[in-house]
Parts: sequence; C-alpha cells; structure tokens
Amino acid sequence: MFSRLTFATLALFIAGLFGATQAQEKGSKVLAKGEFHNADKAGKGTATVYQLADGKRVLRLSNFATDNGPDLHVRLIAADDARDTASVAKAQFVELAKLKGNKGNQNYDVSKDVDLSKYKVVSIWCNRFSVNFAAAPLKVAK
Amino acid sequence: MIRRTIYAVLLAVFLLGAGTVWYLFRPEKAFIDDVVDEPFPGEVSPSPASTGVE
Repeated sequence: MFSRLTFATLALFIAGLFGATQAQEKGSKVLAKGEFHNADKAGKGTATVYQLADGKRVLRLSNFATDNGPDLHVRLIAADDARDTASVAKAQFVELAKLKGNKGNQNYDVSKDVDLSKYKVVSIWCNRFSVNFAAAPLKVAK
Repeated sequence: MIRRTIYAVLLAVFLLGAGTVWYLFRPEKAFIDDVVDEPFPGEVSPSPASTGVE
C-alpha cells in the first residue's frame, strides 16, 4: 500500500526527529532530572534542568500534564520531595514563573543563583488556593 | 401584581450586577488550561519540511 515516496518520507521524518533529539543534547548538559508524581492533584511528565552551551540554565518540562487550575506557578522547593501541600507550604522556595500550560513541553529559565543541591523539587503550585498540584523530585546528575 | 413586578425588578438588578462583576473580574481567565509545545531552547522544532523531500 505504501508507495516508495511515502516510505522514504516517513523514514526521513523519523531520522529527522532522531537527529533533532541528538542535536538538543549536543550543546547542553543535564544538571538534574526527575519525574512528576501526583501531589494534591494529578501530575506526570519529566522535569530536567539543562545547562545550555551559553551557560544559561533552563528547566524543561517534557510530556508534562497536570490538572487545570487557577493561577498555577512553577516553583523550586528546598526539600527532598513534596507529596502534599503541607510539605511545600513550610519549605523555602524559588518562584520560576507562571505555568505556561497544564499540558505539553515547556521551558523556564533558572537563575544562576539557584542552588540545585538545595532546591531539589519542582512544584506546580496554585497561588490562588495554596495547593501543591504536582511535584518532581530532582536527582542531580553526576 | 405589584409584588410580582418587584420580584422581576430585583431579579433583573441581580442578574445585571452578577454580569457586571463577572465581566470585571473574568475568573475563568485565571484558569490555566492550555497545551503548549515549546522546542528545546535554541533548537528549531523538527518538521516534515526539514527532511528535504519535496
């Protein structure tokens, strides 16, 4: 059923995807990585902190999904994990930005001042109702 | 008859007030319910057009 052109197009597309993924990793270095788990709401996906070739640090949420909610923000929490709201509410935090979307792939700048050995959890925090929606404990790459 | 008119006026005032408050605050706009697909920083997202097949 597949014509040669269709097959060639598909093969090149897959090769392009693979090449693009490798190109992503070339100039950047993974500093820390973790998987999202549910907290007071559902959450899934991967959180990775990259150091880019220019030295800039970026938190990338990939294949991310959480429940929709009002006034959601991305925070780095000074804790080992954050499975509920109470554990986030009493911990020190660094606010990265307002959450761009509750689903998909997205990037957030991480300041050079942020100590990743201290702020080890990414939390999706609802400012409106002070609820920890989801969290990803980060493991620092060696 | 007068009582019915009063109820109708009160209902109209209530609906007008509720509509005005909703318009001013738009609480649904604070809700984040979006899908985003940002490429990796500094990279162009891969697309079939970049495969070179015309």
